[in-house]
Amino acid sequence: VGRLRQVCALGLLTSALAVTASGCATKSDGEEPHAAKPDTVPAARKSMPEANAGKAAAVAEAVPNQITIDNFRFSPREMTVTVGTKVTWVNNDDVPHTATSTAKPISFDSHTLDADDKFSHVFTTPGTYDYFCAVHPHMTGRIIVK
Amino acid sequence: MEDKSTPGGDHDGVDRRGFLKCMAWAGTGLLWTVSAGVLGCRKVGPEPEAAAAGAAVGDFSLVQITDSHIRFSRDPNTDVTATLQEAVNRINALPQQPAFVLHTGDLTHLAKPEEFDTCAQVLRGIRAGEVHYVPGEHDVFTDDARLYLERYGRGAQGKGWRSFDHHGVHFIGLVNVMNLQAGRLGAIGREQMDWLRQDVAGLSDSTPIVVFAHVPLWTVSEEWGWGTEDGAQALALLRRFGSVTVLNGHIHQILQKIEGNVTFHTARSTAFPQPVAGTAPSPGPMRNIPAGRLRSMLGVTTVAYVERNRTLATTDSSLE
Repeated sequence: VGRLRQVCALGLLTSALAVTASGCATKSDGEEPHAAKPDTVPAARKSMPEANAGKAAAVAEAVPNQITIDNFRFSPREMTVTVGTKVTWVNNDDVPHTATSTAKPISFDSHTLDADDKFSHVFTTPGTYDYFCAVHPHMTGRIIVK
Repeated sequence: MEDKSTPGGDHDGVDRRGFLKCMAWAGTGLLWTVSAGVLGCRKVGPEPEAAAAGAAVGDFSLVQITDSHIRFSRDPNTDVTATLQEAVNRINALPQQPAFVLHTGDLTHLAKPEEFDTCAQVLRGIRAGEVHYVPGEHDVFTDDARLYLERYGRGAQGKGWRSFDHHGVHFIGLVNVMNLQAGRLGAIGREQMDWLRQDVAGLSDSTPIVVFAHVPLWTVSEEWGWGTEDGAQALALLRRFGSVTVLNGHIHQILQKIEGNVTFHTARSTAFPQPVAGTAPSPGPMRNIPAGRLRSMLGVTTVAYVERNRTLATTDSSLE
């Protein structure tokens, strides 16, 4: 029976992995045509993928030194700025996040960034600043100040 | 109760097909019974009648509620206070009044005083004994648990961990949402681990153990942060016990796992469902839920204990 349980546990694990794997596959399938097949389906490309890519690009280009939080990710995850730059974080998710420096003592901390909240910090000293979300610590990012 | 520490004799009453059938139901709501190597399950229907009828009755029962996220007001649930109230109504309608209630954290969304107030006000309506709490990360991240401990820290150790006994069952509330480190999972930490070691030191192997904590003690998804860094270490301290039931929240969905003598169970939220790990771009709230389906994805969990054979049975029932 111990063996039976192991088999079942393995079965459960396998199906969980299968779900994860298919989730990843779906994600890369969605991105692939956009990047790898630029000449195919021009009409379709105009609509959805480009609208999304356009939005992301517009945000990144129109607002320099801004980091967006979408789907539990800091984007861009790493940013290099010059001394004196004001960096702004914007939370586009439906749940609260933070941008909290990992160094102790803390060099900057947004505290609660609820949905749509913004936080800015001026980096006055050169260095590498790692930070994370204190609510969801698997979210990490880095600012390099030169 | 020698056989409890070495379960898996020849008479556990579940054949391979039966066990796999149990697995296939995981996630839809089901009743597990585990006792001295006897494992069984049956499905609990989503209808209130079926759920009420399926609620296990024992020498005493308790209810787990979790992730009420008071303040959240976006898609898919613009009134989380109302659904918490519905959970309370469901508890009050149980055929057997629970001895007490466990809230496994994320009472609030942003740990504001008024959010704690609303939560307390709604839970005051529960017709049962005390409500025992452990915090979720949403309850502590803004102020290092200051407000939470002010309200719920009475009788607790350290940052809110605690244990108590009821009818021979030992209940342990662990806190795995403090001092979270960048890039890491939930953590119990050394101080609490030392306390846990001492807490169970005097107990006999046959004492049924129930652990309740916010973040799952096993790793459900590392990518989504659904796990506890040193969870295995805590479970190792409990390995000698014949029956260990682990009740968690955090992932807003039912998940079951049996490993040796340990039964893991995560409960539905009373506020909003989250996707199965890896099936969505993020672990955030599930949106665009078909009209009328939300309440089938929220719920409470009942645990019934039968003293005669030291059986703990877990029942999940949704809010509709």
